[in-house]
Amino acid sequence: MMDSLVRLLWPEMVLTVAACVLFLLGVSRRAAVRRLTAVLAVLTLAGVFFGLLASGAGGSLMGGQVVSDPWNSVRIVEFGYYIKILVAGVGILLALLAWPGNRQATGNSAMDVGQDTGEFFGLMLLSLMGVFLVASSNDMILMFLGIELASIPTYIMVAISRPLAVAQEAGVKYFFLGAMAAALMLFGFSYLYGTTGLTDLHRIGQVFAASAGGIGQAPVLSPWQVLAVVMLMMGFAFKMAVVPLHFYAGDVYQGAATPVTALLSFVPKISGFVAMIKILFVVGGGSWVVPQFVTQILIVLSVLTMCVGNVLGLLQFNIKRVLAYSSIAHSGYMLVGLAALTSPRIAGSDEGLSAVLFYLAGYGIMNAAAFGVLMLLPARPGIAGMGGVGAGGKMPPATSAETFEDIAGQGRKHVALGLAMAVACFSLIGLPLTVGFFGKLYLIRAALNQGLIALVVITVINAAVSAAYYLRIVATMFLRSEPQTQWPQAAQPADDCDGRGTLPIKLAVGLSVFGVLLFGLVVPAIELLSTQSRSAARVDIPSSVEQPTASAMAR
Amino acid sequence: MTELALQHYLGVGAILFVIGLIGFMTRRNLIVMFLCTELMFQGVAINLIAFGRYHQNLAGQAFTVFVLVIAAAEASLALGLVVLLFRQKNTLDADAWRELRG
Repeated sequence: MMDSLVRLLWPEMVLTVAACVLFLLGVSRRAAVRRLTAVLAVLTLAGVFFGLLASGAGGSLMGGQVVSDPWNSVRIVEFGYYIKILVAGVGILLALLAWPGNRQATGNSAMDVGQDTGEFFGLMLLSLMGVFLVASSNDMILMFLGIELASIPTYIMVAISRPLAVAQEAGVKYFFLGAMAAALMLFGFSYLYGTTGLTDLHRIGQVFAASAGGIGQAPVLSPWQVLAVVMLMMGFAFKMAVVPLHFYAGDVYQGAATPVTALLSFVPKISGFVAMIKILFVVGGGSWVVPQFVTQILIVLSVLTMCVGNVLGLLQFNIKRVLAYSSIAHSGYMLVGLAALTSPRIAGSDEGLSAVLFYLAGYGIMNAAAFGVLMLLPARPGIAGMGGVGAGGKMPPATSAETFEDIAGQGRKHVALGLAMAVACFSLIGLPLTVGFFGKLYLIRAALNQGLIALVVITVINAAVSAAYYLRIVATMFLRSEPQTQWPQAAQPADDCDGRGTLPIKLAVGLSVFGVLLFGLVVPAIELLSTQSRSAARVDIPSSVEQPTASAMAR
Repeated sequence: MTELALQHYLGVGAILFVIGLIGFMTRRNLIVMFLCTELMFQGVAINLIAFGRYHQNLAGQAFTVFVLVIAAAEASLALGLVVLLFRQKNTLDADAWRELRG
């Protein structure tokens, strides 16, 4: 039995052991040992990434089988496998972005192989491990623990990310609202357990399926179950930064150091989406035929999220806030896929889910590129609210580019960085030849096939609105000239683009730009990713005895 | 109605949860706000235990143990963060911290 558990959960085990080793190495007094922790973190993630890829079976990742433990609390299907590979791959990029050794470049004094390097990377591995657990969980207890494990380390990472008052303020805001959202989610879980007497999600799905009028019909939920589902969706909405629980995003993303912001806009979001998808599958009674109110909530949330994210994104002056609202808007686009998934017209079609999985991969890559470019550009001194604390004011606040003034004209000075930012922004808009285009194409196609015409129109209008602020970033980099202000000699930032410590960040930017173009230009690569996301769009295999659905018979 | 039934326990759990939620929205002292989130967690714990008793299985109690572990982890983190903030401004008022504005 031990053997089969190791086979099931080896990625989680490797990450946990590595995190503990990093915590131990992090207290070393030698800077060389502390510097080693970053190398170890990247190597661990690369090992997990390639190990997961290598253990795949043939064309599809797992050959369509289910692996579960004797108690059925862990149940791994291709969906979880795909999520793990995706998170490990983007995790490598995120770890490279947070590379220590150049304080100016990462905007993060903890990263200056100072005191907290080991802790920082240990927490990062634990946070990624939380997403892995959510992806493998089949028990609501394990799912809750996974979501919290993905979130709690990020609260600490925000607060220690830089010695500035804003970072600590952001950490506290994020923590308090996160605890409140966790309580909402828990309340939902408690009623889901209470109305069924089970914590096993697979079996709860069977209970729901039994309440349906017949095969292919949506389960009938009691009022308490409706309450539970709504509370759960609100709790997940916080993790996904979906309106109405999005309000923390702007403040927290601005306050945290840039590499942490890059992590925040991907890791908690994907944990929320994975949990949401699993719960939708349970609510549909082991299929995507969910009660109508769930689809209606998803449509309303996606419209609100897209519109609020894009309109507020237009009004920002801080680029990290712009990217925060862009991250909210992208959650809205992905909710379009979930609305299409649960829409009743072609019941049981999982086209929406494969579109969401494709989009998650594309978003992870293009987001890393955008934040990586910001990290390589220096900030101008004297930003409001950036008063240094903790260092006794001796040290100028180390930060990377934050405002539009910071990046003005930098595209002409550093052409490669400007082009990288342009590629990232075009992909975030969804222009052709980038991965963002195919992501939006699949989402819109899924919604069109389900007859959600109004939703498609709103999505396209929102994509057009979002172009305004993404293009503003690119235009500022290339068209505006650098502001001519006299900087005090001491505060003159070193031109970090050429610093030695920035090589890993450049590598991460290069890799992610390569990924954006690879999955947007090279047809076999796009086909590969969309095939994988299609085969991963099976969250669980319904037990054929209780409920022979179309997807089970097709297999 | 002389015996305690499931709904009484659920009522207490829901009342604790709602008091916590309202307190979290209205109070401005960081420690009180944190206590309110704890109140929400404890309301859920009462729900879980009552449901576990009602269904005659132990899953509810097992869940409660894990909820308490998460609540303890969040408590240690919250107190650490609150001390960090107090050292800088000598106040626990949440409104004193508003450098991040949209």
